[in-house]
Amino acid sequence: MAYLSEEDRTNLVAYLDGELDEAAAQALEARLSNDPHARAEAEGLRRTWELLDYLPRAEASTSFTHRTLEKLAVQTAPRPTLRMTRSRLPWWLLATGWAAAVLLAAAGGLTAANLLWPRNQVVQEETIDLESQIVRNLRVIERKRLYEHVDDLEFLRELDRPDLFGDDDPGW
Amino acid sequence: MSRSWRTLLPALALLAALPLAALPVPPAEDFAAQRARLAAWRNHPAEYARRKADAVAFLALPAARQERMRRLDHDLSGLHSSARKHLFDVMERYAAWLERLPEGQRRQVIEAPDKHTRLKKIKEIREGQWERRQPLAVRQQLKQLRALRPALGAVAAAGLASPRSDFGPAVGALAAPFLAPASDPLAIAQLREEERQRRSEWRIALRHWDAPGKDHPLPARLADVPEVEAYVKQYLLPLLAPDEKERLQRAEGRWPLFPRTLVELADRHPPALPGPRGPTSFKELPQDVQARLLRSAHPKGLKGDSIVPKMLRVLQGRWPQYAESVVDFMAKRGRPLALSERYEFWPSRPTHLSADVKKFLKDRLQIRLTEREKELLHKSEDRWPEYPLRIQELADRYYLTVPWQTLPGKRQLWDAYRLSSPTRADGLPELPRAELRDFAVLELKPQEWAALDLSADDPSSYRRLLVEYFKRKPEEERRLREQDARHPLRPQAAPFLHVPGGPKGRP
Repeated sequence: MAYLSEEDRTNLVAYLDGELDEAAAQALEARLSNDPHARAEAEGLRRTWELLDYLPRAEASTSFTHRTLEKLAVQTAPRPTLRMTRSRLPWWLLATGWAAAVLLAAAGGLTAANLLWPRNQVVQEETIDLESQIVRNLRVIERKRLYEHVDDLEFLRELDRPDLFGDDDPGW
Repeated sequence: MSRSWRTLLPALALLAALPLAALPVPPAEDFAAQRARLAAWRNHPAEYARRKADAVAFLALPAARQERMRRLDHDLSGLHSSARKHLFDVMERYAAWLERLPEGQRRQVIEAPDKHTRLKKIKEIREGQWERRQPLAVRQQLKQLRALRPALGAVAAAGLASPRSDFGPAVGALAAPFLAPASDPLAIAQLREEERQRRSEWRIALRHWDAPGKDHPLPARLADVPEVEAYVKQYLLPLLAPDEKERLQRAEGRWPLFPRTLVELADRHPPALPGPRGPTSFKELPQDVQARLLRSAHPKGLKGDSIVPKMLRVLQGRWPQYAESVVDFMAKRGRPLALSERYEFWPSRPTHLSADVKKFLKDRLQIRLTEREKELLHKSEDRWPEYPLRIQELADRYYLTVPWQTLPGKRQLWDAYRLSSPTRADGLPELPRAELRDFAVLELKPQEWAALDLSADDPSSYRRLLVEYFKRKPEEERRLREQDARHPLRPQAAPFLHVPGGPKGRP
């Protein structure tokens, strides 16, 4: 589900380009501060927007910085902690310990991955992934203006009537 | 280290390594051309910025909406190239209209919960726009009628509900016509149709601006064009539907409505091709066809219906079987004469065709046909409607327009009354304008633009650009030809077409 309206998206694009006036920029920032879903969507848009400039070379940039959304506070979730005893444990406690250890290992793995891949490498991967998405959908993207508000072929054939858009008479 | 820990540690190490294995998937090599195209856009900053914004917006759309657009693209790409181009033109007009709408109305359209609501809203806004463009008198009249409508409805209901009253039924009957959808004065669709008609009449009138001062009168009725009168009465009228006959009759006496309607109906029903109806008895045949049939059946010149071959009488009233049997009869008599001396009526061999179609076959179609196609055409001779339908099918396959005879005289004489001026490039598949425009931006240099003399205002630019496109992309032309052959423009003709060696189909 999309949380940003088309107008919000347009504003965001203008904002990222530094073309939004101050009042509108403040309104947008307030909207994003208050709505975590919209913020997440906006973050996706921002990354897409910036990554597009790297296409089709798929090169990472050292100046890949948060331009806007870094202003927004990011809340971190509390991490679970584990305490183990050296004494012989009952089976249920051992099972709980295993589960906690698995979680910790997964978190450790992800952390290690982040440490091993520097920021620009992540960007490169995202860029490549984005490129494949854009390339895969390039034809549709090129015709977005035409396709966006046409539901399907049946709907389009309904529009193809002289009293709607089937007649190219300039007078109508 | 306990046994438990010895097991746990390798398992944890393995689990921790899993995220490291999630490597990004490189783009497939198949996308190389699209990647190159994307790279090419970067050389056009304004266009690139637009596509960049479109890509951002597209990828931000919900997955279902993205999928809907992909589906539409897929469905459109499966159509015949002419149908696809036409629907792209429709989408261009729709998108341009949406972009010009005031924000509130635009939102009502694009945020409609489903396509039916969206369509309803579009119709509503279009009707409102039309009404606002009407002269004040018409708008006031519509307003008054709307205000009267509830009262008229009540009167009609009360009148019809009191059948025993002396005045009830009469009052109800008086009010009812104003409320019936078919004759409702508020039926905007009807008014809009009339407006379109007026506009087309103006377009034609402008072409004849100087004509009233010339010697020849402007035809407003059949009697004004005697050379056409016999053709219309004997050849055209039996092919028309009742509502078409009525239209022609209503147009009598009005110029340019009459010649425009005549040309439109005649173009829609060339006598060479089968339509939904036609003569189904000897008496309904044109007089010169009757005479020729009689001469063929009884060379000594006997007269009267009784001598009409029994075979033809048996098939009376059946269409198109009657026509087929007439053609078959002539072919079997060993008299390969045309059924009509003057018109292209039910032709079944090259000598029956008009001079224009003969020339078309010789100069334009035959030179393109494969040996197999020539054989198919040859084997359809002496059969109607197979023969003209085969010509039509082959012409469609090569994107050519057959100049079938419609009205007597040179086709160009009636062009002044034809509304559409086809932009299609004969001999080539059609492409959406947006596709051609992208080609021009991405692949043509400024000097090539100049050489092609391209202009957005000039419809012939489309043809020149299309020719250039396919000159540079022969593989795309081949692909479209193959695809169009699988999706013929006139699938309704297929049952008539007999493939040698296969079963003979009938509709």
